[in-house]
Amino acid sequence: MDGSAEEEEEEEDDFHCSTSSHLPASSSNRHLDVDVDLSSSSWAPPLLLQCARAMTSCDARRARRLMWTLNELASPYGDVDQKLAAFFLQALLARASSSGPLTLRALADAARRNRSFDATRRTALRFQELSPWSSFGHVAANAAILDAFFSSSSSSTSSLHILDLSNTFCTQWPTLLEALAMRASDADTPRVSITTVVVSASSVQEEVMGEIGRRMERFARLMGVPFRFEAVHRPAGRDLSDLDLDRLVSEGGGSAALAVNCVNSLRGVPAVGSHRDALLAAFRRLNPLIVTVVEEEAELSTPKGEEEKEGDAFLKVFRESLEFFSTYLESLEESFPRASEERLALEREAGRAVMDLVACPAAESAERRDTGARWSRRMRTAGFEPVEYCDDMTDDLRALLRRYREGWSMRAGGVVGGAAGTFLAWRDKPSVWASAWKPAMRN
Amino acid sequence: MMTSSSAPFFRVGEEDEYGQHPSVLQQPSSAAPASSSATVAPQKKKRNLPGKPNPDAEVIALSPKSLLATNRFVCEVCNKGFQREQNLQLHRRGHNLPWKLKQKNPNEVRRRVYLCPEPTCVHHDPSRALGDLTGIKKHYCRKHGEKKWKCDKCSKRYAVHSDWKAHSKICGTREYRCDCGTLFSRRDSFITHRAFCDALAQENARLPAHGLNTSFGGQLYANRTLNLGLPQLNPTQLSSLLRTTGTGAAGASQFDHVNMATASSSSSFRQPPPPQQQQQQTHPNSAFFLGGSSYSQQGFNTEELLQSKPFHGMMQLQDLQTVSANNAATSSSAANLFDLGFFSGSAGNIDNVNHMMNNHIDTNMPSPFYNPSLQGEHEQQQQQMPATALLHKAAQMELAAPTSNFRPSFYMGGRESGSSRSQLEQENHFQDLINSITNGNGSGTLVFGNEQMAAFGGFNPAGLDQESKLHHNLTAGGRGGITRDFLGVGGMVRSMTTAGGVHLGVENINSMDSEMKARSFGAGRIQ
Repeated sequence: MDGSAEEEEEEEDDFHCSTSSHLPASSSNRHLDVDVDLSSSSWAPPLLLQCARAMTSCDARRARRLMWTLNELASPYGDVDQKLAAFFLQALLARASSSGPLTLRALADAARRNRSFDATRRTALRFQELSPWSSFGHVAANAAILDAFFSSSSSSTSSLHILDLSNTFCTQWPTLLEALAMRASDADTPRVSITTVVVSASSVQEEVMGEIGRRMERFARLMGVPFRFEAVHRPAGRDLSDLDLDRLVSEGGGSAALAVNCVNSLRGVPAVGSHRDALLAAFRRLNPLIVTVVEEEAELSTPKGEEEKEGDAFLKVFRESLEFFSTYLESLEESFPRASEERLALEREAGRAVMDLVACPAAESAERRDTGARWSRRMRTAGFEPVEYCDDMTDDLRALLRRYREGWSMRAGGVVGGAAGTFLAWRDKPSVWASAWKPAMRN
Repeated sequence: MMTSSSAPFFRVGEEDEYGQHPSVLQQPSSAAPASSSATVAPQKKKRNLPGKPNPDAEVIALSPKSLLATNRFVCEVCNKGFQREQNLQLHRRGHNLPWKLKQKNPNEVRRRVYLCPEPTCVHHDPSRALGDLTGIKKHYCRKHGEKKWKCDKCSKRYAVHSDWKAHSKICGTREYRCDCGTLFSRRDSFITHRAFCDALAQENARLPAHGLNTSFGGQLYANRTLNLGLPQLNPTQLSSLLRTTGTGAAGASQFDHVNMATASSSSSFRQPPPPQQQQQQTHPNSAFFLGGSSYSQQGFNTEELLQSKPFHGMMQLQDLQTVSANNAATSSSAANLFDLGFFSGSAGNIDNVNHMMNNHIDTNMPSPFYNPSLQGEHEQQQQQMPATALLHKAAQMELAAPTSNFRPSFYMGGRESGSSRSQLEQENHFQDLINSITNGNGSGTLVFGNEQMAAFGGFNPAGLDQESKLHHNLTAGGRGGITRDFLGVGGMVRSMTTAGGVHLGVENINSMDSEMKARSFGAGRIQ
């Protein structure tokens, strides 16, 4: 076992972590050959970061040592640190062996094969029950859509078409339909049609969406809302930037007011090149009534994919991913009960995202999140301007947060890098960004 | 500022855009359907029928300003405002000012009715005047006023303070009950659940009912619940029911509901066997027995067969006895699950099950004890190995030198027998990498290895002996098949850490950390 005194002297300075309690004399730490206080509350990120650094600087011995240590401690069933160690170490190994995409596909296959309508529904709904992580964006977006619809002249045409690009399986829409039904008078409940675009490769997903569609239609009938639903499937790997938007929209209802809803979907469009800008420009050409964007806050988009090969760019993405998933897993841990199938499913999903970010090329990545500030710049470039959240809406959001456990708060976009919209923060760390946009008036 | 007079509500001196003289004694009877009797008994305060004001009454039309005004009576000393003159008088006592409480003379007082100043309002017409000053004030605020009060929890808005207060008391305490029996305290979760709920799926399309209220009568009407009778519950649902029972009212009510359904009568299962079989076919991984009596037709794959075998050895009669005792119980445990699954009212099945449990080692048979609470993730089913077999294998491994069979899959998803060639190559690659890391440090050094080896130490050796025979069976079943299922300790151990394996020997595993102990769900606590 590598643990001899000579080895320790050779350690580089940055092997010491700030949390170190200097226990090199203790047998356990000597054994592990690491000068990190493992009883501190977040030992995993420093170790993982050092491991990544060692890898990029080709320090094989050190990398191996760190990997061994991490391996000793990691577990996907442990605490947050152990989970982080498990996911990120697995990804680093895949990166080292250039087997990222393969591993990712295997992981995805395993998950997809068993993703029934029931399991999907359960996971999504339980998550929304226990954590505002996804419901925050939904509430914000729905409020913006309703507000825009009812205060626009097109409410006289009483027809709303929603182009839905999201990964939350239409769980956003029942509350919108209900609110619409409540707000309209009996005589003229607006017609609603939803075209939802799903990135999927499997037939299982299609079945799931089919079932979802049926239930939505039934529910709308219950609400007394004239309703149409369509699910469009895009194979994985094909991003949204070449959707035939015009066709989708015209089929939905030509004269209807159009709301474009993007929840966690823009990050799937490659940041490399001009794909993202192209998609947003395409949205602008549709001249929608409103565009709602919900994304997770993390700076993981590198503008040029090639830079990933370089150590610095990779390390930056690695560090940001560590921070983001650390927050995410911690919030999951605090929100769900101790033993929860749903949380496990969400964590596994996070593990796949980590694999994607660390071991797979950026050009094919579906996980390249970006900051609200940067998305805001893109939206403005594309010809949109922000719709301010009115007081009522922020009140609603605050009321939403009160229904969950402690730890959540809201932050205005402006204070987080000058973004539009608003942020959901977990323990003061901005995590989810929600914003609304309308076409900017041309002068 | 009003002077204190005996009739403070006269608009004397106040501006008013409606220009009505306050003291005109109008006779609205010509316009009003004076169905109430014309004579008024002066002694008792008589209430008019709503919507039909007293035709004798004096009609007052106040301005919006005066309607909205509060605290019109102001103390001259300290400027404190009061809504009623009486209150002001009492307050004046405190200043040692002369005060006088005025009595209303019931003989002299006239009935007054009030009009709403808003011209578009129906109460603007004298024939629809409201009889109460407080009433007209509230009406004006509610209908035509600005909603200044807002509920904290649900952000509903109110113009009248008392309305808001009343709502706040109730808000959040109201419970919404879905047809499926789940209770919600939050409206939004209720709505979202309702939209996707199976109970909704069972109903025929209703006539469009505006809003939720009409449809959410929310009673568990006995007939409807039958749709959720066991045959229709798929494994994941029932397992989630089990799982949530321990965690709160929602779960409990769900479960109680199911129990009710089954306890009520066995004939209540609408679904005859055939759909059951269909269901089985579409969910081939379900080891979960869904009620009824046709055991023989379950088409389970061999993996589950293997997995279910050892359970029988460990868990037989003891559990069945508990089960029969719990036949109508509403407690949440696997025993109860078993109850739901097998008995449906008939106790005679116990013997059948016993019989089957003991004898059907070699035939396909569902194992109700196979921890249903795990089945939420189907992917786990294929990889799980009962703890006893795991133990044996681990013991074997510890004795033997680490072989190339021992492939730490390291938490990789691709463990199905259909794993591709490149998958294996990749894993070999991993093995090399990891071996180089561990310096060939033997077996069980991977992520899960350490925990598990330590855990195994605490195991009851008797359990191992029992399983040696089973191990025979397992190995006889095809070595390649088994090792391919769980490609090394990682896979085995992984399933070990999931409660499927845990609940078998949970009492014996002292060294297991609390995380894993907690993972033995209610269903697993078979004593």
